[in-house]
Order: sequence, then C-alpha cells, then structure tokens
Amino acid sequence: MFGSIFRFEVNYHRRQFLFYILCSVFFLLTFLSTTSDNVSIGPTFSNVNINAPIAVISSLATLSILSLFGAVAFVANGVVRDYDLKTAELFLTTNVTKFEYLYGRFFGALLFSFGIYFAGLLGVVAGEFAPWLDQERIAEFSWGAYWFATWAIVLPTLFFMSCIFFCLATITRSMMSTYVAAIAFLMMTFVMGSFTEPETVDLVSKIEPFGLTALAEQTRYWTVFEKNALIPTMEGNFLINRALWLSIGLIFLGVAYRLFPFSVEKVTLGRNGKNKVQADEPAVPDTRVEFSLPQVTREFGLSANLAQYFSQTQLEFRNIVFSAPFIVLMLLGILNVLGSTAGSLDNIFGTPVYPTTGTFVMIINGTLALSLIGVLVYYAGEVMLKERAARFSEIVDSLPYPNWVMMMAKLSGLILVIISMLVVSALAAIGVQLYNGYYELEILVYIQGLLMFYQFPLYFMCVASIFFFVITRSRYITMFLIVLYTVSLIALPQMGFQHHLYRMNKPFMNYSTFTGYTHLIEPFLWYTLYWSLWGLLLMVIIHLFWPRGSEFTFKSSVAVARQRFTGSVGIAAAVVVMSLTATGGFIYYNTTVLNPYMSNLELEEKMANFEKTYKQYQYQRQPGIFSTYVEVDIFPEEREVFLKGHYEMVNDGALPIEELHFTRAPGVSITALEIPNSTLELEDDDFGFYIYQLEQPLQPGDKLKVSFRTEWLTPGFMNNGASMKLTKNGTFFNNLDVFPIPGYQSGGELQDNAKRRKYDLEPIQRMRKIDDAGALGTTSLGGTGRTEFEAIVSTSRGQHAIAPGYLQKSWEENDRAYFHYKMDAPIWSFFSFLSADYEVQTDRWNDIAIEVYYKHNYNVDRMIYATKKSLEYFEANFTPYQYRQFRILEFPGYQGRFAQSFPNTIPFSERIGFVADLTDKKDIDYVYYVTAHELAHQWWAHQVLGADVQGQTMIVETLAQYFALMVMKNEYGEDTMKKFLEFELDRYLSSRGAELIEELPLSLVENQQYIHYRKGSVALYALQDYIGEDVVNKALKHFLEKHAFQGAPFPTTLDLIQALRLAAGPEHDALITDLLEKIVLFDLKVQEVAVEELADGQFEVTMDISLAKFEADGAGKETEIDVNGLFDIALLGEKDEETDVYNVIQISKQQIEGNSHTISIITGTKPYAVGIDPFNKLIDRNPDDNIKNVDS
Amino acid sequence: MLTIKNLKKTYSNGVKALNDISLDIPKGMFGLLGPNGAGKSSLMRTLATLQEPDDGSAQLDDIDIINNKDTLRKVLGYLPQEFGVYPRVSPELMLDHLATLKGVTRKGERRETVDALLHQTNLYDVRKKSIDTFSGGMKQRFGIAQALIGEPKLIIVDEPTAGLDPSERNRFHNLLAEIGENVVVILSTHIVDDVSDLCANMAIMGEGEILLTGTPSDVLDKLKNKLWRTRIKRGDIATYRDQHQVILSHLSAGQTIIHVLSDDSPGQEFEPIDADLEDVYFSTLLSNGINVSF
Repeated sequence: MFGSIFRFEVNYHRRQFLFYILCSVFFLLTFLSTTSDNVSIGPTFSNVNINAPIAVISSLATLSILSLFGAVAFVANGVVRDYDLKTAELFLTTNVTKFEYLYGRFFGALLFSFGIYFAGLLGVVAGEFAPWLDQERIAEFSWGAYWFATWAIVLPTLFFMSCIFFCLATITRSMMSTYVAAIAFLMMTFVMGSFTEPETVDLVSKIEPFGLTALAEQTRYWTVFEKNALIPTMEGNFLINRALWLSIGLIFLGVAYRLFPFSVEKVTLGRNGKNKVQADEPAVPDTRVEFSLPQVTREFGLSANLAQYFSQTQLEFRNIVFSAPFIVLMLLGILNVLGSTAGSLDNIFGTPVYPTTGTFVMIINGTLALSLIGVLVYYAGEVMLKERAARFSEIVDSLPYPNWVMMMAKLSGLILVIISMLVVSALAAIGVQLYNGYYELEILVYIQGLLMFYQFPLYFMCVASIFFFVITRSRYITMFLIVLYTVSLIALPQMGFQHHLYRMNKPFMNYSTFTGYTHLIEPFLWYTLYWSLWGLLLMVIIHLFWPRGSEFTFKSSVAVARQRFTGSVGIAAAVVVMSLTATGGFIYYNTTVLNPYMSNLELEEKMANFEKTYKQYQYQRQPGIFSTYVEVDIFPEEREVFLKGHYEMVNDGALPIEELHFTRAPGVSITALEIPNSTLELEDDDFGFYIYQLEQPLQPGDKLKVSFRTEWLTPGFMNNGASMKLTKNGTFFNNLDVFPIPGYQSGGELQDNAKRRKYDLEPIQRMRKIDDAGALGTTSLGGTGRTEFEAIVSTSRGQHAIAPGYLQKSWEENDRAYFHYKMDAPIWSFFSFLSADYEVQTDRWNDIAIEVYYKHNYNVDRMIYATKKSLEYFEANFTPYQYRQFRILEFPGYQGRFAQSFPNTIPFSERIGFVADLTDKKDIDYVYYVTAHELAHQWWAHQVLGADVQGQTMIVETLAQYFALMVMKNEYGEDTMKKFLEFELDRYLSSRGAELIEELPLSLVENQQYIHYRKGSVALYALQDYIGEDVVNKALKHFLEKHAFQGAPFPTTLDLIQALRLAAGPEHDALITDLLEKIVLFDLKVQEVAVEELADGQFEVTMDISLAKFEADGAGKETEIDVNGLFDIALLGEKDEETDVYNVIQISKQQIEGNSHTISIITGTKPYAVGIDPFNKLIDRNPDDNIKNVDS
Repeated sequence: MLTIKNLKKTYSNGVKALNDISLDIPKGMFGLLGPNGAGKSSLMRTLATLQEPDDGSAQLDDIDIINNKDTLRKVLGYLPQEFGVYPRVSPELMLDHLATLKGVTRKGERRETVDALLHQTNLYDVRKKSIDTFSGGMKQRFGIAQALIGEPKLIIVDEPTAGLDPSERNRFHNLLAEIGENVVVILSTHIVDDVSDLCANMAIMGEGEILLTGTPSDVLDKLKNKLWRTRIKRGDIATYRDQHQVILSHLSAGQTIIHVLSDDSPGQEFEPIDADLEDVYFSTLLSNGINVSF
C-alpha cells in the first residue's frame, strides 16, 4: 500500500504543470547565473573561477532557499489537497493505514522537491560548458563541489524543511498558513544571516537552518587560491548544524504522524473543537408575516460614493489586519526591526551609534522591505479574491456602487496595511529610542522617510498588483508577476536599463541631519508625479476591466469594458495620458538632455574608451604647480560652484615640455583656460581631456602661469547619482572635483580584470613597481612637488566656508559671506572646500588652536581630547606639528563614512564618529582612534609622502594606523588592544579571499585597504611589541626627519624598512621580513592545559601548544615553513567586568622551535585561562583557539 | 413590469444557456421552474447585471438592464443561489456595510433599517455573532435581509430554499409572499411546491428556453382530464415507459407510482387524478424532449 500511495503521489505531481515550470525556472536561473555577469543568485565571486567549488556550492546552496517554496508546494499539497478537494473521505475510507497514507504522500512529494533542485544543478553544469564564458576563469570540470552541495547542503535542507512544512500542513490543513510559516522561516534566516561578526557567527553557524552561515564561517578566511581549489568539509559547526536540523526534521515528521487524525476532523490542539460553536437558533416560533421596513433616503452622489468607499475600505483593512498571516508577518517584521535597531547596524568596530531617527528610518526601510513585499504578494490576490473566496461576490457585485469605489477601497486597504506595518515599526523604533534615553524623536522624519520617500514605489506596486490581477484574473499569476516585477527592478540595472522612466524603484533618497533630504526631494516629487500618473492610467484600465459579475471570458470582459468606456472615462484617460507625456517629457529633458544619462554598462564602456584613448599620456611629464590661487564661489542653495584662479607652474623635470594636458571631473565645464603662447590642440568635452601645444617648449626650470575659470552647475535633476557633494547645507568637495587637473588621471580606470578583458584592456596596473626609478619623482597626490595655496571662498550668508590654510580675513558683501585663507608653507595639491552653518567649539593645546565645526555635539569633547593626547604623543616622540591650528569639520553622512586629512583641516563624516555612542566602556572608542589616525596624517602624508609606487600606502596609512594605535595603547592600556586588533585581523583575513588581483606583502601594498590598514595595524603593533615601541618610534622619527618636506625623489618602503632594520638591529631581521616583506601566517593553539597545586601553595601550569607557520603567495596558496621564534605565553585571570578585558597574571615571550611544545610555569595565582599569543599580535588563521580556559 | 426580449447567451464551451428568451413579468411573485442546467441561473445573473448576454434586451419599467447596469443596481435586490460570508463578521456589521453600499448613507436611517431587517428575519438576537457560525436557514435569512435593503423594485432570488428544513422554508415563504406584493420578485427554483405555494405567475425553463408560461391555474388546466396514476412493480417501469407516456414516477410505501399522460384512460389499472404543478413541470419537460431521469 505504501508503494501505491507513493506511486499515486508521484503520478499526481508528474501530471502537474507546476513541477515542469519550477524545473525550467530553476534550470534557467542557474544557467544564467553561471553564464552571465548580469544575473546572479547568491554571492558573486568575480575574482575566482566561474566554476570554483565555492561558487558552485554557493549558487546551489542559495538555490536551496528558493527550493523552499517548491518543497512547500509539493509536500504541503500532499496533505492539504484531499481536504481542499473534499476527496479526503474517499481515501480515508479505504483500507490504507495512516502510516502508508501519510508517508507515501510525503516521500512521493519529497521526490519532486528534490527534482526541481536537480534541474537547477543541471543548469549550473550546463552553464560551465557555455562557449561564451571567459575561458581564463574556467577550471577543469569536477563533480566534487556538486557532490558536496547536494549531499551536505541541499538535500538535507530540503528534507528537514519538507518534514517541518509537512507537519505544519498536517496541523493547519492550509497551504497559506504553511507558506506564511515558510516566509517566517526565511525571515528568521535572513535575520540570523546578518550576524556575521566573529563573536556571534559561531552560534549562528550552528543554528541557521540553511547552513549558509556555517559554510561562510568555514570559508571566511579562504584565499582566492583556496576558493578555487578547496571543497568545504563536513566538520565542526557545519556538521553540528546539519545533524541538528536533520533531527529537528525527523521530530517534525514524527509529530505529523502523531497529530494527523486520519479523519476529516480538523486537528485540534487542546481546545477540542470548541472554536466552532454554532450560533444558537432563537427558539421563538416565528410565523409573523407583517412586513415593514422604515422609509429610507437613498443617495448615489459623490458623497454617497465616498461613504461607500470608507465603509468598504474599513472592511478591507479589518479583514487583512485581523487575519493570522498578517499578524504573523507583522510580528516578524517588528521583531526584525527591534533586532536590527537594538543591535548592531551601522556600527564600526562593534561600537553602536546613537539611535537617531535618520538611522532608524534607514534600518526600518531596509529590514522591512522584504516583509512589505511579502504582504503585498500575498494580500494583493487576497483582497481581490475576498468576495469570490467567500462566495459573496454575486451579492456585492450587484450593488449600486461605481467600480472606482471598490477599486479604491481595495487599493486603500492594501496601502493601509503597508502603512500600518510601518507605523507599528516606527512605534517600536521610538520605543527603542526612548528605552535608550534618546528623546529627539523627529516624528516628521519618520513620517517622511517611512511613509513617503521610501514607500512610494510600493504604493505604486499596489496599483500594479491590482492591475495584474484584473488583467490575469489569477491569484497565482498575479503573485508571479509581482515577484517578477520586483526582481526586474533589481535585474534591469544589471542589464543596463536604469532609467526611472521605465523602472519605478526606490529613488535615491538619503537623509542627513544637515539638510534633511536636500535636493533629492525635487526629482523624487517629479518621479512621484510621473508614476502616480501611470498609476492613474492603470486605474483607468482597472476600472474598465474591473471584475464584476460571474463571467470572466475575454469576450465578455471586452464587451463590458466597451460599455464602461464612456465619454468621461475617455476624457479622463486622455488627460492622464497627456499629463503623463508632459511629465515624462519634463523628466526626460532633465535627466537625459540637461544631464547625461548613462547606464552602468555604458559607463563601463566609456571608462574603457577613456583609458584606451588617453592612457598613452599617463606618464608624460607635466610641469609642477608651485603656486595656486583660487576664488571659489559656492552657492549652496543653487548647488553651484564657480571657480576662478591660476596655477603657477614650473618644469621641474629634466626635459623640455611641449604639451600641457588637463582633465576635469564629469559635470564640470572649463569656461576659460589661458596658457600664454599656446594653442588648444585637442578639446574633448565628452571625456574632459584637453591638450595645449606650447609654441615654445617649456625648458627645465622655466615657469608659466595658467589661469582658469570653471563652472560646476547642477541643472535640473538627474536620473540618479546626483552629486551629494553639493547640498543646500553641508557642501564638501575637493580640488579634483572642480579644478582643471594637469595630466591623465588613472582614477577612472576599470579595476576588475574580468571586465577589462571584456574591453580588451591589459590587466590593471594598480601601482608602478617599487624599483621603477622613473616613478620616484611623483607622489600619490599626483604632483611632483608642493604648492603655495591661497583661496577666497564665498558662500551664502549664515554658512561658514572652510579651506586649508589660515583665515586671513572674513567679510560679508552682497548678502554673501567671504573667507580668505592662506597657507604659510607649500602644501600638496589637494584642497578641501566645505560650507555649512556650523556650531564651533574651540580649544587649545600649547600654541595649537583646536577647532571643531559640528552639527552633533555628542563626541566633540572626545575629539578635542583625542587631538590633545595625539599631539602630545606625536610631538614627544616624533617631529613637531607643522601648523598652528587643527580643525575637524563634520560633513553629511550621505557623502560617505570616512574622514580625510587635509592640511590643518579634517573633514569628518557625521557617520564615523559624530553620532557614535561611546557610553559602554566595553566598546572600542573609535572616535578617539579615527581622530588620532587623521591627525597622524598631518605627519604621514603632509610631512612625508611616499613616491607613487608599490608600498606607498604603507607609508601613509599603515604608519598613521601605527600612530593611532600607540595613542590608543597609551590611553587604554596594552590589554585592551586585543579587541581592536581582533577586528583588524578578522577584516584582513576575511578580505584576502576578495582580492581581485594579487595579495602583496605590506611593503609592496598596491593601495589595498585590507593590507595597509588591517594587516598594517596588526603587523606594526607586533613589531613594536617585539622590538620595542621606543625603537620603532626612533626609527620613524629618523625617517620623518630625513624626508619631511623634501622634494623628489620621494621615499619608498625600502627606505622605511631600512630605517626600521637599522634601529632594530640584525637580531630582528627575520621578524621584519616576516611582518613587512612576506605574507606569513600562523596557526597557534593551546591544545591542553593542566594546573596542579603544589605543596607550597603555588600552582604548576602545564600547557601543550601547537604551532604552525605558513608563507602564502599572491593567490593565497600557503606553504608550511619552520617555526622558530618568540611567542607570547600568558597566564590570564578572569575578564574585567567593566571593560571585558582579561586580567593578565603574567605574559612573556618565549623562544619556541618546532610544531609542538609543552610549557610548564610555576605561578602564585591560579590562572583562569592560558594562551599563546593571546592578544593576537601575530597573524593567526584561527585566532579563537589561542586561549584555553583552565578547567576548574 | 420586467420585459425580456430575445435574450441569448452561449458559453464559451458551446452550451446555449439562454436561447432566445422572451418573457413579460408583472409585479408580484414570479416562479421560474426548471431542472439543473436549464439556464435559470444564467437568466437570473443576466437580470442581476452579473453577466453579459450575447444578444437581446431586458427592461425594468424604463431601465435598460443590459446597458444601464448602474441604474438597475439601485433598485435591485439579489439573493444568489449559493453564497458565503466573510469570516469573523457579524450580520449587523455586514448589513450596515451593505446598506451603505446600497446608498443608505444616513447613519440613523441605516441603523433603523438594519435593526428592522434583523427583526424581520429573526436574526436580531444573533446580530453580534459571526455569520460563518450560522446554520443554513439563518444564513439564508441573512441573505434575504440583505436583498431587501433599500426598497428594491426588482428582487431576484435564485434557489432560495435549497437546503432549508421545512419550517425554515415555510418562514422564508411567508417573508417572500409579504414583500412580493408591490415589486417584481423572480424566484427561481427546481422545487415545484415553492412555485405553487407562492407565485402568481410562472414559467418553466429547459435547455435555455422558456417552455411554458402562465398562471399556475392556467397551466394546470392544460392537463385537466389527461393524467392517470397507477401502482406498479419496480421492475415493470421499463415496460410501462415503452407503452405509455410516463411523466413521473415516485415511490410510495415501497411501491412505485407512475403518472401517465393520456387523453383517454390508458388501462384499467389506471385511475384519473387531478394534476398538480409537478405533473405540469415534468410533462412540459418531457414534451420538449428533456429527459429528467427518474
């Protein structure tokens, strides 16, 4: 019997279209994602082979998430079907047993959910052999990854999920409830998936149902080489995860058997069927025949229609809001919001930010987006079918209301549901704010951000969903179309279709306390109008085809639509179409005529063409600027900048210069460029490249003056990508944005080698080689030397404009504010300009004025304190600060989360410290760290800047990191550095696998952030720990003294390392080589620890440690090398409650050779834990096992 | 007065639901009899503005039903053959909402109407309960209550008594009879007694056509002195059918009774009987070649 039930199930599904549709969708999806850059499921790996095991496994594992819905469809259908079709009695009265019936169905259906996965798998396999693939990224075919993905990830996942949903379907007998549970399951998974920090990932790996986190955890530190070569293994958290979920699945499968009543009764949990009580029939025998109703007035005018509309809307809203799926989705949404807001979003180094409303609006919109679309997908069909589902439609349809009443009521019902979810989330968020003692609630920002700016596309989708339904008359096709619509919003831009004229998605909106949504509102309103008109047009069509009555054939629909197409409808449609055309035309004019419109693909192509045309000039020597004078007129309200000025240039090379080259940023026009005795030979306004031929070549040492005027206008509005540098309040740009810049700029080159191959470009050269003697004369800031700098910056009255240099004079004239800045010594050609209505706090350290220009004053004191402590340390240990003033300037968060160091001037993002919440002492004080780092750049960049070759960013960034680390260490103590270094180490290790080209040792770093910041921190901290802070400081001081303010040739890391070696002495040569000149990794671990109490009350601690050391090549291939060196061996006490830092009982370096070692220490205090390199000073691939607790 | 002229409807599967239907329906109760699939519901739905005819017209006084649906809906009360209700909604709330949709926009009046309807249909005591817990009869009374909102001039009730027990059916008839005095009430049914109990006028439909119209007494006259009855053994029915025009058979106390149509006495075992509407119904169907299995 089992066999026959099983066969019956198989035969049933075999005849359903669903299976074939899902199979083809899955096949196509994976085939396309394998063969096209424009489609992807799961994470993308542009730097590894297309068929790298990790890429294959990731696609297939992601597919298991999608298969979830297939599993529900098949498995739940198996149990629900008989009740829906009322065939249950037929089956239940045969002699089939419950076991056979239930499990026959289950396994029959399971087979099909496996089936669709295999269709997806075939898609990947077929994709690998597509002839148009980039063959350089295709390795030899191997089944290994498929085998692993199938048996370790997908089939177990599908099995246990099928068990769970089978059980739920058995209990609820409702497909919909089962789908809702599936959505809940997914949302839960997404929430879990967002916990990727090392401290939470361990737990999440064990419990996240799809095993994706466990997979990510296992491959977190994989390098490019490993990603191409290795297959994950079934061990550790991954194994625990699979075992856990398989057991849960089996339990559910058993529960399903227990709870399945094997009768047509509903499953009742506890309340034994009491939920269905019949209303009592009144016992009065009623033979009354007199019949009279009160006289009523009936109205059918507009006001009556409005009353009908309100009544119907209430009913629609009520109907959704009191339904179980909505309540579940709502609760999940709120939990999600609470989790995200209370938790870790938008933080840096694990330190939270203040719960500002702007941040919360972003979080809510981000976390709720999926639930809102889910609500829409489900309820669009639901509201449209409500009357029909209740078999009440014939009554309702024959009532005397106009179609629009019902249409608007259903639309309003849907929209109200979305709004109510947002309002409840906002209330939850406000709760979190109040709980955290934050009282600046900014209700208006909630309303704007949650209900208007971000959700408008969703309102439009409500109209579109109703339209889909009215046209297709099918709930499932409607669902499918909504999903397709949503996916297309994401997928179209990848294919080069980005214009919002045909793609209504979230317009680019960004909030900052500085100016709110600033100039983004105008395009938003235009697009809103435009899409509202589309909505109206759809509504006209909806009106014509509004389902009313009992017949739904094409013919009758058209006949009815004809009747409904009255003169007034025609006029309305015509007016809408005309307004739509006009608005569309206006938007087109603004976005495509006034402003350039370019898709990503077009932009890529343009970048490639720019490089092809002009890269030939990259190293053609240009004269150096030795004096710069500019008048910069900023018009914040108009978002315009006018520039007038001149450069004085000198040929500081050895050869005569015949041509001058200038570039300018897109969107800027050079209105005048005067070079005496020259002719404009090439004027390329498209690419912004200009070549001037000098009549007489400029001889070495000769000077010339270049005068220029430029305009940076922002006519109309753009499709997206409107510059956030110019805003009504909170302007921040630098000279590269608006000045004519001498010579070819390589910043606009395509970085991804796979893309470069597509355009026949050579692999990218990020930096010139360190031994390129010709490169030593230029710096990374482009120039060959420094320039005098003088600027008069004007802005609107009421705003404060700031540029590098000292303020000479400020005045007001013609309702504008003028500020005259002049620097007393030459600086690099890199100038910032800011304007906003700032608050200012001033202070002083010795003779140095400290000024902070801010909007948020939470951490201003902290910044000033950090500045003082840094100045103190830097001046004591290195060279003097070269300026008599230090300014920090807050700029709006939507420009990015960074701070940047200009001479005596640090623009500092609102989001990188101004709103950090530093109340918890356990958290890393990154405001202190960033301030110190940026101040350090006044030395590392503005005093010494390396030559523009490999290793350049080590000098600028790694040494600034080192300065900051030392100031932090001074302030917080050595033991607290572990937390910061752990973050740095994790970022370094996890970024290696994302390397696009080649990982380089620190000394040869090619502007790779994970190396010069992350690895740099760890390496330099280790260096000073091993050879002494004073030794490193001495070396750096010498290096600074030798190179500060010097002209070409500029120093390289060769000079730096030489200075370090000289100071450290030969005994540290190997260490310096390992840290700075090679890619060396360790795997240190405490295997065992035993503590024995001795007779004299002392303790003998014995620990077994294992050590391994590897050297990696640029691709991440590691070779084990011999261990022989000094390692920290520590006995640790318990963690300090307040700071969460171990108390150190004793720590010392021991010379250890070989891969395993036993150490024995006699100590007076019983340790809580022991460790080898416990503070992660060395780069350790498994930093978590360096410490082992002593069993008590 | 409802005038139906040449109404035609063929469904996409080829079924001719309405085959050139013409009918004049005066005020009062009008019974529409017919077997399943006769086209009753198609006609009703067409009159209730829920369905488009392929051709023909229908006029209620001066309202063009086909082309002026909105106007007709203002004077229409419709109780479909089968209807359900929204979950978790009380009759009071639902009637109130439906009254709003019917243009009873003044709150006070609406309240009174709803209360009156609840009383009339004897649902007042359960007005706060959820309709989906109602028994079939209560639900049907709710159905009639909603159809009566707003003083309709045309009331269409499609198979209203299906599934009601005798007392419920009785009560329902009383209600219908009361309201049927001043407006056009069309009652479609396949239960002959419904019509004979209630209707001043009637029509019999079969295969999309009107087979017979008239008052019940007119149509009964057609069978006067032509109807005979006898008791037979169950197995003999085929023989009788071959020899006679058997219009009806039913069981009584275990024996089969057949009614036979004949101008003269078909045999000595037969006794003459007075025709009732059921006989008319079956003979009409039979004479039109519509086989109603029995």
